[in-house]
Amino acid sequence: MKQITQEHKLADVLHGNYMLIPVVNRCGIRLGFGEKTIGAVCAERGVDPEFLVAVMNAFNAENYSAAKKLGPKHVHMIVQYLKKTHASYRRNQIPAIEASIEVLIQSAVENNPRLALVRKFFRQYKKELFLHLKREETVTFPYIESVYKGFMSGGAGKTKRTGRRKYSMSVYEEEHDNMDEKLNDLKNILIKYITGDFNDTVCGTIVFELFRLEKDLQDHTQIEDHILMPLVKTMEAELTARGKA
Amino acid sequence: MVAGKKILIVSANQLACIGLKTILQESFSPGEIIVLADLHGSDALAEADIAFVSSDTYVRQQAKLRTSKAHIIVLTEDARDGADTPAADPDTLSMAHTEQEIADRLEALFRPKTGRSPGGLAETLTPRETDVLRCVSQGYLNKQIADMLSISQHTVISHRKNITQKLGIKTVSGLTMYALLHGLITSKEH
Repeated sequence: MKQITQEHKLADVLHGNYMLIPVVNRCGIRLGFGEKTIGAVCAERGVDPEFLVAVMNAFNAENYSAAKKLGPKHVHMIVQYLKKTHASYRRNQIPAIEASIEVLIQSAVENNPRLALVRKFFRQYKKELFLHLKREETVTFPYIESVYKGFMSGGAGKTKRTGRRKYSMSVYEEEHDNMDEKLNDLKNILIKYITGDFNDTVCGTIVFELFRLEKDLQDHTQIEDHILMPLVKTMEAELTARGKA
Repeated sequence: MVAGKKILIVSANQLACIGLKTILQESFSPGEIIVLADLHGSDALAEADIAFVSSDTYVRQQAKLRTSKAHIIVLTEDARDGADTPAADPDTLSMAHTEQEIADRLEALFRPKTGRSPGGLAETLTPRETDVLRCVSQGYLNKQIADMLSISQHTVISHRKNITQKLGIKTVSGLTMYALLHGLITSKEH
């Protein structure tokens, strides 16, 4: 797919890849923007067009080097975007899959222990995912915001005195695990090993939604690992240098 | 599985032979079907892929039938199909059932054999891999598994790699679910 630019009509881009609809939504743009270009829609909605274009290209190409153009000034936007993504997992995607699993269990002619296992697995997964999201929201994001503020204000940052040192991007890097592996396993198990008399359409929908969630999570991780983390590390280094000067 | 295969039916009961032939043709689209009253003096058995024989024939021609490469199914009058017969005994098909029941039984007989293990597990994982998988899904660590199975940790890791490659399942939770689904562990064990 060719590179998306600010001059493209947003509608055409979404026709080209409908998976970008949630990406656009999370940037604060709602559907119903008529014939406008990406640049025009962003200007209207107060969204940084450079940021939106970079994220969409990265998503399309599954290659996050496209987002190298983003700089420290985009950090706040990236964090806002990630928070919106978290909210959509919590409010929409995960509950929707959970509900579909219940419908699937209801659809079974007789009690199917395999389906109960699917439910148990997904509940466990949900618990872990939510913990992971919460950790980012209560520790990682506030840390990044404070680095960002220090960096933008031109100060040296109070890294040493406020104890911010205890947490840094390297800690985050170490503990940041992949949340999409388990989803992949569940998908695989549903495709290969779940048998019995139940509604195939519902089961298909669940697998489909798991594929979508997995892609979304991979994208989310890519943004964190390949855009956010390097940016914050650069800012951390700069703050330390300023402190020494 | 049966499509195009050569089937031999040996029984003095001609009505039963015709009935079975009709069911086979209607539901399984086999190749050639040969009907014989007696196996004696015929080499049709050498050509056959599947041979239905009356219990009389089976008793009289056992030696010949045992050496045949054909899948031997003994026709009985007994209403109990040999579902729980020992593995050494031949498969049986009862003629005392309804047409539908006979068709169902035939389908079960023609299904590829997967051994005793559920879900054809034996075909995918080796017994040792299955042992390792069982331990992993019970929550044991590599070191503990190595001790329990008296193998090196290195071997445990290599088994785990193979398991993941064969099943496409990477995480411990995924492997546990697989083990539960295939009856390798019970829900109490994990």
